[in-house]
Amino acid sequence: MFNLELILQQVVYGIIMGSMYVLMAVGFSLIWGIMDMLNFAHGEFYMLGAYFTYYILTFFGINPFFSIFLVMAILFVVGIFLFRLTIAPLQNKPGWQNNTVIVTLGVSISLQNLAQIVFGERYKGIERYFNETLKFHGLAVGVDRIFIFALGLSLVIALWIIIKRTRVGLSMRAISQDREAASLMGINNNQIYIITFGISGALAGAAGGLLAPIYFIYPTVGFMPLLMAFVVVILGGLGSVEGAIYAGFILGIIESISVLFLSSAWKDVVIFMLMILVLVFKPMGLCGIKKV
Amino acid sequence: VIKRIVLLAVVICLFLLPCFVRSEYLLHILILSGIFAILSASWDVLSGYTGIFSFGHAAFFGMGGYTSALLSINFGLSPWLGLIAGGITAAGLGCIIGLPTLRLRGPYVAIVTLACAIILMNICTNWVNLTNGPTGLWGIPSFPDIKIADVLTIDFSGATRINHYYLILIIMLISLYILHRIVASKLGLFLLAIRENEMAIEAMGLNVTKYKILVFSITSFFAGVAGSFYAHYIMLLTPGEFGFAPMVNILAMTMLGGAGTLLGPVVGSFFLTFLGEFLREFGEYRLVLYGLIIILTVLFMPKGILMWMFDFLLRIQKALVK
Repeated sequence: MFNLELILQQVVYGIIMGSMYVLMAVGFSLIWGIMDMLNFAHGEFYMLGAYFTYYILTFFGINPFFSIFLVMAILFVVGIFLFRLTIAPLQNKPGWQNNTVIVTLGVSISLQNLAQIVFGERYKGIERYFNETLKFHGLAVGVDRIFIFALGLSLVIALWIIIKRTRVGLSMRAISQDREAASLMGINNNQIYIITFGISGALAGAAGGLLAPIYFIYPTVGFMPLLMAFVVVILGGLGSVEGAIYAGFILGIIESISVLFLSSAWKDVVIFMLMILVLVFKPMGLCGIKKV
Repeated sequence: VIKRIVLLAVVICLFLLPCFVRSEYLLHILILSGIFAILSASWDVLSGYTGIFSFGHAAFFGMGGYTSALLSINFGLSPWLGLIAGGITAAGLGCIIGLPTLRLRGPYVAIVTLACAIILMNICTNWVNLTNGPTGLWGIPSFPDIKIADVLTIDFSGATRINHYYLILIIMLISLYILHRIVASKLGLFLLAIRENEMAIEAMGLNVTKYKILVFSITSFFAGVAGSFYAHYIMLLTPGEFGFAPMVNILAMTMLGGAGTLLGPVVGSFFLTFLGEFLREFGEYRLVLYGLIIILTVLFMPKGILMWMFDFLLRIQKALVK
């Protein structure tokens, strides 16, 4: 039953899922590192991304490749709106960490239920992007999954380049190290916050859009991705993009292999047990930086 | 002094309330508010005072409920003892969940405790023989009647909710009193010190581990009692009780009311429970508005409702003095 091919197959699927976890997690991690807040509305970016993809594909029938970028652009704007309306007014007021948690929870509740009214509570699904399957030495992988993986990976690489090679990325890293010092060096903190929120929204929206053909779409669909993003970010170490990338792939692989040995009902238990174990031995996550 | 008078007046009002309120529905909402008040006040001691940002508080609530319910269904244990038993098992669970979080801080604690809660929820869902799985545990016995020498009978059979209301009111006041004493004592000072600077307090020679585990078990005891009361009041339990949704409520109530104030969470619980019921009129828009009101409250009262009310009273006082 547990032959090598089956395990390899699951590993491949795990890597593909892992790329999606990374997409969700890096946005969550960026917001934490740069703004020192947890964004509980992150799952709603995913949900909106999935719904927008559904409507764009069913009504306009655009090529999935372009529709993903369109959705990312929309979610970029949604992220900025969210920041402008709910997060920005809380700046420079007491209780920043607590208040941002409740505000984003409030946004999440509102958006989920608004989605239920606007989009309906029926499960929606879209057809696979591609129907062909690639076969390679007994391994069979759908072209649609390869498409998802390729796009996801290139987005992560693009983000990596932005963070490490551009001025915006430099400013981001500076702010996450020391907010005041960065601002004294002439960095416009507010502008960077806006861009961070936009990027984070766009990446989560991309994950939602890419996974739309594989999972059903419904108003509360964003919860699991949010939880997974949280787990990945913590496992990798808060604020560390490298850590999030490692942890995302590791989590994806562990998850899909554990399905082989245990029924999928216990999948979450395995993942969370492992996470707790890792944190017992490495309290700062795999690549965490000590934040004072 | 003014604070005490206001507080006393509120307590007396709460006791007299059933004389004026005949609506069973309103009583039900009050009872639910009371349960949440215990939950969020005890969570506040853990998060607001000690700075342990646990996301597993709902798990203790569920644990207390399931323990008490299963004991009374399978072994015929009296629900009165169940209240204690629920609290004690929850406290034990608190010790166990507290252990892996000792070296962690901030959001790391949040995710580990949330993970523990989700693991428990999964066990509850999948262990169908014991817990009846996702359909939930039903037929939980209610509190037995209290007979005092044939003169007075307090019955909890469900004809009226007044007795349940008084019961939860008393439990709530006792819990708040004990929590208040803890916070006001030397132990409370240690807890605040742990929140402010864990390293420093460890360097002073205090056993941080001991206090963390202690506060975990104390607060989960109260959550367990609340859960056990809930089980015998609603007479139905589902694995959802462990999950993220009730935790969001506890979180929102505590922080909206004002974290680190003990009374703030109580105010927050009553505010949000009533808000949720009041918004039922708006049908499907209910939860959309609920979320919006949470957002607006935070934006306009960033220090919490309780502090906002204090400021408001102070302003009136100043205006009167002038």
